[in-house]
Amino acid sequence: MDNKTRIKVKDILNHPWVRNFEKKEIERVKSEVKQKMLLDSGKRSNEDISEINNNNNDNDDNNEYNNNNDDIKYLQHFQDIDSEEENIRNLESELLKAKIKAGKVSTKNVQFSDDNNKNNNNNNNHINNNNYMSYNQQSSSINSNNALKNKFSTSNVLDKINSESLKSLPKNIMMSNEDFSLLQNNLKDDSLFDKVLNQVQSGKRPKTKNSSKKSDESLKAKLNKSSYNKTKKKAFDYRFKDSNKEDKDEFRLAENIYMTTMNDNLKHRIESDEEIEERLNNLNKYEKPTKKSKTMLSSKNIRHIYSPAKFISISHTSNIKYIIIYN
Amino acid sequence: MEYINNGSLFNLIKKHNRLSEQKAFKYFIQTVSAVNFLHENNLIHRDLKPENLLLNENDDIKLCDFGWCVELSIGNRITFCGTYEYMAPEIIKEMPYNHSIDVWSLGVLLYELLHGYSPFKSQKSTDNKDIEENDNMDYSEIFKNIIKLQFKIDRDDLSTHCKDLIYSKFIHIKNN
Repeated sequence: MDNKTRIKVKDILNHPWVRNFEKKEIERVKSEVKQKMLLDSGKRSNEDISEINNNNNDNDDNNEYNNNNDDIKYLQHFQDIDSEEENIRNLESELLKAKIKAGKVSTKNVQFSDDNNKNNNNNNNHINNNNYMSYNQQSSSINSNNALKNKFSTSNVLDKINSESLKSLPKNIMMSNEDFSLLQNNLKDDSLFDKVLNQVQSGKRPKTKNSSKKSDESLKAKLNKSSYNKTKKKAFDYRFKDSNKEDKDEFRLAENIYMTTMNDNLKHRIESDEEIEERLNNLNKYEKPTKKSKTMLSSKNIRHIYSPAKFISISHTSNIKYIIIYN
Repeated sequence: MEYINNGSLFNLIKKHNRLSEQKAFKYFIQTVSAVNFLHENNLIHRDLKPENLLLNENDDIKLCDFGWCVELSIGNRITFCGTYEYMAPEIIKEMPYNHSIDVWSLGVLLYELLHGYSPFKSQKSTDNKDIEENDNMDYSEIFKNIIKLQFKIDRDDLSTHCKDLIYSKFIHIKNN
């Protein structure tokens, strides 16, 4: 027996017996995974899968039919959009005409709009040479551009009004940017426009519901809250998209318990100014605070430290001399 | 250390008597990859046998008992060690040996997985094959079988590739 001619361990892995089995194993695993995926996706039984395999041709035909139906629906959708945009365009042009009649819009601006429309029509004619889908897509984008440009032209009008008519305002009246933006937003409503303009010209500050700073802030807070809730809901839905109702309920319960505990802890941590001062004095016995740290150690700052969110923001300043953690 | 609770390959062979080619392949190839790792790191196990191959909860092989494991960097070894039925002829002949003794043991292991018994067993062989615990056992018959390479494959259902691996690559050496 010559041990020098004996096979090496590495070579065993390349032996035909090993390679054959590996191939078989890979195929077996592949087919298992394929079957599992099919079962998971359609919740179908093995019999159904074999049926699907047998009826592949029929399904192809059905798919074609479904695709055709989808195309029709898709085209119908674009036609609906077109008609809606047509209506909007008509309304806008009527509004513009009414404003011209009332002398609020100069003909120069109207001319600009007409030119714009002409350009758009040319664009549309050009696009007509392309296929239907691209026509609809581009047409809708052009229509929306048109609407935007019309808006832009009306805001030009307002600029003009602002610069010309406001010159005639009494000197003690100053129109703030806020008022001006309100005026701009309400441009479409002619009655309101007149009302605001009259108020400005007669020397009164226009007052609307949203004019006060306080209501603005509350609105902002509301918006933030709703967007936060939306994001939270989205995150929740995404996380539990494959879960059953029990899992979802369990999570909600756990979250509620957590939030309640957190709130309780925070309530417990907020102490009176006297108590905090006393604690600070006790601390000062052990280490004499520097001028900087003294400022940091005012009761106001300590109170901030109690809040976890504030704690993070303060720690970034790296000015903290003491961090007090209560158990 | 990881707790392996599924027993050893020895228990499995005793339970099933012999394994199918597919099942044997699975355990064998896992053992080969473990031994390959040792050899790549210049180590010889020197005591490969089903008792030292444990099965974890996923039915995967875990090679254990590195009591005889040595580094080969200082040259070939001459220590007489291992388990009788898994000993390579060069150890019995007290010749210097290297990592190829593990390859011999792998061949014996493959045979045992497929047959339920080792190729060079004696008629009086017992379950416990350790040298230390079987001092009074007559192992001259086993040694004789190993040196003379007296063994045969008793299964007709094995593939030719499998037979080739046992005969020409591990135990028998092709005459060049």
